[in-house]
Amino acid sequence: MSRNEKCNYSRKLNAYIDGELNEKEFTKVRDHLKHCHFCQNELREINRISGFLSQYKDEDVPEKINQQILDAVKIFPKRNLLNFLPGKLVKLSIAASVILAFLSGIVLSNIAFASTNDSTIEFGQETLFSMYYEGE
Amino acid sequence: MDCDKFEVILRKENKKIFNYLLKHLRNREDAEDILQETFIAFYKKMKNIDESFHIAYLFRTAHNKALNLIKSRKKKEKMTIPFENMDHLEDQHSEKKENVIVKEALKKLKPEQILLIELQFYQQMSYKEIALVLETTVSAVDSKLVRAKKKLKKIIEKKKIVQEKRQETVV
Repeated sequence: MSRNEKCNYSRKLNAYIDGELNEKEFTKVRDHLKHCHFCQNELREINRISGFLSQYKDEDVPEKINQQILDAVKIFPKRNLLNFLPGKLVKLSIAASVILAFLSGIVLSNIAFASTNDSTIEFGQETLFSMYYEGE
Repeated sequence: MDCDKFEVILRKENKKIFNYLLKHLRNREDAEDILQETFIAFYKKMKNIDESFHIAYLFRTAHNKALNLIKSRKKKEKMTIPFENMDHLEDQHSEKKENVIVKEALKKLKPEQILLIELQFYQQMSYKEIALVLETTVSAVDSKLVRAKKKLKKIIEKKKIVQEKRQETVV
């Protein structure tokens, strides 16, 4: 195969270099590489990219950052106790308390409304009676 | 007990996450902030994460947090000076030349492609492990990596052409 003619094996070259092929496939690609100029060229390009990427030098994490993270998690349980409870349990208890508050609101308002109505009648009656007697 | 175990994991994995964030965000302060947020989020969930999944969780969290930061940067960018300009001001004077060149090339890739290169090339993870981080299949990882490296190759070639032109003009 010529240098410019595209070869189907070239799709496997990354996996070949990365050691991701099984033994049978690896041997196939290795043997193919011996006579395919296109794949030989592609392999050189992949190696060139690797060479380029390897120019990057890793940097260490500043110790103050490690310390800040450790300090943050040390005080974390005291501040955010809720986060340590299982999420579903927290959500369920919040939902239950909202429903309970809503229901108790309805019950209390009914009671309040009923008692207010009674007193109004009584008050009204008393007032009418007193007005009637006073007028008399 | 939890804190001790956490410290061991932090000291073992922090460099990997930090250097990925440096490549992705190209800003030291942002990388430090996201690193802290990532490990604190990890600490909160640590009990529920299987040990074999720790590194995948850390990379995925760091990646998502970095993406959110980039999105918010873009919103701010519309209102202030362009981000590209800020990049040059903040980083290039203090950083090694080689690192700047690699980062310059990587920034032309999509965020997922940067993560792929990081995991495969710098962390030497297997395609199976990468698939776990990206929540995808091994064959998808393979094809995405091929695409990412092809794109990187094009970028390098472009850079080479630009450099050659610059040298010609100097001569």
